[in-house]
Amino acid sequence: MGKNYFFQEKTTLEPKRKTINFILNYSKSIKVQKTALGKLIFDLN
Amino acid sequence: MKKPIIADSTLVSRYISGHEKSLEILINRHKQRIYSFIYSKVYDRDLTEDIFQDTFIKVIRTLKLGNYNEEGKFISWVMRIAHNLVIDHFRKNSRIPKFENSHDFDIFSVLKNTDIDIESKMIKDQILGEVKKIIELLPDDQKEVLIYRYYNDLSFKEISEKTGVSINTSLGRMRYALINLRNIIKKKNIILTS
Repeated sequence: MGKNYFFQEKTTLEPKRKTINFILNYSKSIKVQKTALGKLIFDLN
Repeated sequence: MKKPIIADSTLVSRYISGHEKSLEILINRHKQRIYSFIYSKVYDRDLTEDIFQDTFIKVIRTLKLGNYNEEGKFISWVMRIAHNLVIDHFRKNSRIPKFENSHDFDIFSVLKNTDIDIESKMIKDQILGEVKKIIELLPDDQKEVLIYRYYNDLSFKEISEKTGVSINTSLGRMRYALINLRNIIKKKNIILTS
């Protein structure tokens, strides 16, 4: 049987796991501190 | 038995109160829709990943700072942020975005979208507010010259007349004010980017 050149594999459009992990790690790495300056974000990385 | 679906608003509240897992649920719930939307504008996988990531960094920062106003749906808010970042990307690259009507956005939302302006303004105001608080920490003579220069738009000649010191002294105070501002920002690890 010949190759079907019209066949296109359906790929899902979604972010890589790596990207999601980065976002989740970022969320865990920042802390909000109430200071005299108001609420500030501190990146603990 | 099927688990009941937790509403986005509940997950947002839980996340704000420290339940990190809620963010993961929200991302997994909406990732395809947000990712597809970004991809439909930029047609580039790597760029889509970057914009997707930046979108959620903005989401996280806004939620953690307690600046999220729960007036609309969570997903609409996130989509607006993504949309804004896509526009920023095209502006930076001086290209005209290819917008097509879809169920998420139509061309009229690009031509006239006051919500996006409001969001940008909100972020800008937040940054300016933080800068003002840092300025308050400067010694009075440095604070004075910086405020006259940047907020009142006075020349150094006008500043020297108002404060009764020479132009050179005003320039020196400004220099120290900027050095001190940088030091405070660095020392406290303050993030001032939007």
